[in-house]
Amino acid sequence: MSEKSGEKSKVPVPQKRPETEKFWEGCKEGKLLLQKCNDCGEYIFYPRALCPHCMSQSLSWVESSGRGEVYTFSIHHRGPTPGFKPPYVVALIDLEEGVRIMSNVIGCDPNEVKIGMKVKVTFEQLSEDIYLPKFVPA
Amino acid sequence: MDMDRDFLKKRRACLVGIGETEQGKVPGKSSLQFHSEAAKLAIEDAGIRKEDINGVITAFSFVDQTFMHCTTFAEYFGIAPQFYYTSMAIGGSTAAWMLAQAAMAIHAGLADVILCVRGDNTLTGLTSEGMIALIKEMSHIELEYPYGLLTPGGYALFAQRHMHEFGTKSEQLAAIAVAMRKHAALMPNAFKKEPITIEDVLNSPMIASPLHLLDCCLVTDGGGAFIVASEEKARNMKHKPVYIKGVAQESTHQYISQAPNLRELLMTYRKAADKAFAMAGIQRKDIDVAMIYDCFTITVLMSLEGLGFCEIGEGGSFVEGGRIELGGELPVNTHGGLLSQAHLGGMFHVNEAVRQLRGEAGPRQVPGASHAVVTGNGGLFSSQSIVILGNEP
Repeated sequence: MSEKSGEKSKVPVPQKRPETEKFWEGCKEGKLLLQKCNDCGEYIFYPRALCPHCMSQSLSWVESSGRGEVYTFSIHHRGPTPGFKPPYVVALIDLEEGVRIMSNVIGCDPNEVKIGMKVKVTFEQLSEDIYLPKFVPA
Repeated sequence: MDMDRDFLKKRRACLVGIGETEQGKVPGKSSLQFHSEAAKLAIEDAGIRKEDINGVITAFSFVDQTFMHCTTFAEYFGIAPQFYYTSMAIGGSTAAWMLAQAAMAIHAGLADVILCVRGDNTLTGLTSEGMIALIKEMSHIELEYPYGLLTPGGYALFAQRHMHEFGTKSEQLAAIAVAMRKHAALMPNAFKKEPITIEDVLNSPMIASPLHLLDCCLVTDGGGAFIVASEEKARNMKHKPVYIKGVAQESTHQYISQAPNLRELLMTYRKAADKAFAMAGIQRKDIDVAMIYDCFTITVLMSLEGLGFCEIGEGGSFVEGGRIELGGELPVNTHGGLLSQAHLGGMFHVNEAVRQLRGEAGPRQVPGASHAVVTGNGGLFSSQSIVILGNEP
């Protein structure tokens, strides 16, 4: 994290790591990138250096449709740092490709969020380089 | 894998001493001070000398994060056990698994009197930066934490899903908090004793829906310790030993976004519980009292399903109507648990089980208690430890 003392009041901005650099590059271009194993064909999320299913190190980056549905969610009434403005929705979203991603559901009243709700990706700029994937009702 | 279900019988391990300091808001004491005071009490309870200890297992401190925690403690306390040392860090499943680690070390002949200890000044000593660091620790730093996931929020995600799939109600979760508070009222060393009702829980501030403030555990200061010894050594000690009869552990994920679906998560827990019961050679119905890790009310409900005390999805009705209270069919956390006694990562679930099996729980005593199950839960449903104890071999 780029978060240093003195910045604790802000929303944390993710810092790229070797495994995630391509992912964040994709987000900057408005693409939600997933990894796909060239050997066993499984989709992989979160990004990592080898396939957690078959240990293959031959992985490709593929663009997700960005569509999915809410597996579950929680309306948070307080946040870890003052930068978060409650109430906000933390959700687990099942993408069409079959992987699950954590995100915020935005663009609607938190009370309208339901399990099974269809959502699609959007990107929120946090810094010059980092665009965080979030989801809106589809 | 074909587990050696008899390994605990080859050189039996027993709980022979317990200690716990004052719990709650106890300012002016360090983490290592709480460790030491608890260790001293456990040694006195066992009726041994500190020189008799030849193994030490510590956990970790949220406040004083040392790299080699077990040796830091041993030096401070003035012991040099020959020759089993380890520091464990599997979150809330650490305390219960200390028992399994100690039993394994005893079985291997590496030690025969092992001190297990944990203490922390979490309530009065943890800074806001320290608290943020803890919250960060629970989530994937790049792909979860930036969404503002709180620790209660991680549990809330599965509470919400449980309600969706099984119709579980907030009132049912609240019944768990109410039961823990009733038990804490009978526990001299409990932080929160004033009675609460289901309405109080539902009217307490929402933290992360569907979990209210009173669905969440306490943050407290204090220390706790227990001593595990070989049966041979235990025979000459002060109390009748409490036997470690079955152990099992499971994990499906670290980060909650990587958890399997709810039913699969519960079935994994069930498989581990089956192994623990098979090793102990007893049935669910033989359990007289259950010490279930209760960082949040939903953890208790899902653990009861995972352990197999009720069917998956039926936890909501199982916890209603006083069934998990003293006098009910399965008294749970007779000390008040993390929800009402104190939070020390499950150390007191072990201590209370020992008191129950020794028949020393006073007004909280379950008559004739001979078997107890103790669980731990680390991370966000990330690591489960299950231990079955009995007052006979």
